[in-house]
Amino acid sequence: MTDRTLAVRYARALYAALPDPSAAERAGEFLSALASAAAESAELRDVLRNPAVSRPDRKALLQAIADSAGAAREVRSFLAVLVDHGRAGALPEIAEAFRELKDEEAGVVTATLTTAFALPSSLEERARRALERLSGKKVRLTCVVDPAVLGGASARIGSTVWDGSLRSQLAAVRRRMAEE
Amino acid sequence: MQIKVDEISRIIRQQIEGYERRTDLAEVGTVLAVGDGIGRIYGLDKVMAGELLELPHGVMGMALNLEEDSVGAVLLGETVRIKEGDEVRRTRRIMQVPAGEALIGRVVSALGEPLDGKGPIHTKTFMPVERIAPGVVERVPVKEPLQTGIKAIDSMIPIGRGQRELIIGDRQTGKTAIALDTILNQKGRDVVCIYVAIGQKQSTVAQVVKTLEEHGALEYTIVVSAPASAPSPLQYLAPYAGCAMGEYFQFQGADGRPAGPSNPGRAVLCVYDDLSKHAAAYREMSLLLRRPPGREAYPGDVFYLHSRLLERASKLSPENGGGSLTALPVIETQAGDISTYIPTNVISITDGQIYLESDLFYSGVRPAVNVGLSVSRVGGNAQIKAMKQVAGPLRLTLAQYRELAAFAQFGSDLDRATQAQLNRGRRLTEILKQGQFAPLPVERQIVLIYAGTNGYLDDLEVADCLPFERELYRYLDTAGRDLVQVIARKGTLDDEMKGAMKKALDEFKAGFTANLAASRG
Repeated sequence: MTDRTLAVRYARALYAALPDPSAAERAGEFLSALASAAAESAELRDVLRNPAVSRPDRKALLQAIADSAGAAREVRSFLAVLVDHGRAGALPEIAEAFRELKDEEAGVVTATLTTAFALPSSLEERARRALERLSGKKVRLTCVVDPAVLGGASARIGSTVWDGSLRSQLAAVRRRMAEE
Repeated sequence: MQIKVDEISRIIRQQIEGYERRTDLAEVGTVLAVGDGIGRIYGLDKVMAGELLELPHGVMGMALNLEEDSVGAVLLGETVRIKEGDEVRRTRRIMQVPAGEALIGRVVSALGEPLDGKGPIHTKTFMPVERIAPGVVERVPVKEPLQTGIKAIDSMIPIGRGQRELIIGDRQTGKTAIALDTILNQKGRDVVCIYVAIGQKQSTVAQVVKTLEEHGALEYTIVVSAPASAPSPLQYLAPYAGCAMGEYFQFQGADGRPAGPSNPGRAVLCVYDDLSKHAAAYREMSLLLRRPPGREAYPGDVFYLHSRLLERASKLSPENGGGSLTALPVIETQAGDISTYIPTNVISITDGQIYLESDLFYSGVRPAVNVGLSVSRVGGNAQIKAMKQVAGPLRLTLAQYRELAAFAQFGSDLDRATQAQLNRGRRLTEILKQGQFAPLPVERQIVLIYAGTNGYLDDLEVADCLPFERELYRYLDTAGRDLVQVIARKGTLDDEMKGAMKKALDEFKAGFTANLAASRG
């Protein structure tokens, strides 16, 4: 929880430092790429987290990565500040918080659609449209496959869940029969 | 009887076919951390303060801290089965407890679940645990007496229906005994009694239930128990739950519909035993929720905690059914100190206090009421007129006696008037003593106190006061029965009544002294 508070704070600062939405878009892409790279590569994780790596080394390495990706000046300074504050390890959370912040500003929400089997893309698109109608915002859809749902689908945006899955309907039937 | 299997499957099939398919809309969050019966939950953006939450394994929660990016909730039930990442659902319901006639005579938990093994409780209604107290317009002043059946209290510290009277004293001074006697005395008076035990030993609660049962008082009483072994959220909820159960009877007529001019609400008596432990339970809960501690580590709103509970005691106007809820909160002091945090808070909230002292208790004055420090701010309005008339001089005489008794300890020669006052005081103190579980009807109290304040005891030995009292009641049961009936009917003492009382007492005393002399040879 404290990690989140912290991440939101850094993300907000970076967002405010960037000059325009397109720069924010690019910065977001770079941070997400960095975060997913860190998730895959143990070496990069070391660079970010391992206390054996000295601060100047860590800073230099991150600057080199940023240069090769052609990141903006603000992003490079941000990485330097992060290293100076000893918060480089929180980079994945910050990338996530930054994305949420950017989405909020742009009126985009993330929705999770859970189904029993993988959906064809035409159905996915229909679900996205339906969710856009429901929420009144642009929807970025993440699909999750969970066989325990049995059938139907359940969609979640933020803390609201539209549950039309077979699992919950069966549970409702069971509850009603137990009551009677 | 035979049940056909295909019959059953047909019914089930019908039910499933009739089941309406629709999307279930819910608001959910995820558990971030659990520990010490407290959960931190992420999500639940629109949750209300005090809302009931649904967790897996039948655990319920109550949202208490609404923070920027998380919700702090107390968990009720088997909290060990909850783990990080579990789904939490909103119920859109504020915490509520079952209420209704079915609860009477039962022992229940703070959530209204039966604890007495007498089977499930079927109630149709629920009452919110937190409720705004009735406003000024809905109330009328307290003026109807709630007889405790205890001489020292009914005469000098009268309690009215709708009043809040604090019972305060050290451990083992008879606080619960006074509350219990009051409940026992409500027999046949159409008062619903609710005894809330907070943070007490299970054995003590069992003892109370047994006492109530033995005296036939359980048939109009609900016992709400949150023992010391219950988690602090349940102890915190218990008095509010008890109050909510009581409010049902206050606001609903006997037919269960809202009370009004033609559908009177009932009278309710709520005993909260005790609020010191309640404050301690709330402190525990608040600290675990990381609310900032204040004096003695109690949170800043510990005053509001008790004031919002006790404000719910009220006497409603006839338009609202005239129901009443009388509160008897109990506070335990440490070494007689009533100037600590929680006692001063509750003293300032209530309409008076009954102060019990261990010194008095051990010197044989039982109930150990300190008449000097005890007050009832509703006062004489909550007494029948006859009691007000005889009890007036009593308080004054006892106050003078206490002052002189302190002086007389120096042992110097005393003038005749002082000695007479000391004598009178000693005898009055004697007749105010009373056994436990022996509540006394108000008419008898009036006759006895009249005898005491008018010098009928002055020439008796102090040791003879008790036999005098006993014989007097026997006399009032037989030859003096008319007198008692007239007092009960008229409710006030006019000159004619006083004459009759004097005549009866003269007659009784002549007989009593003659018997006494005879028995001593």
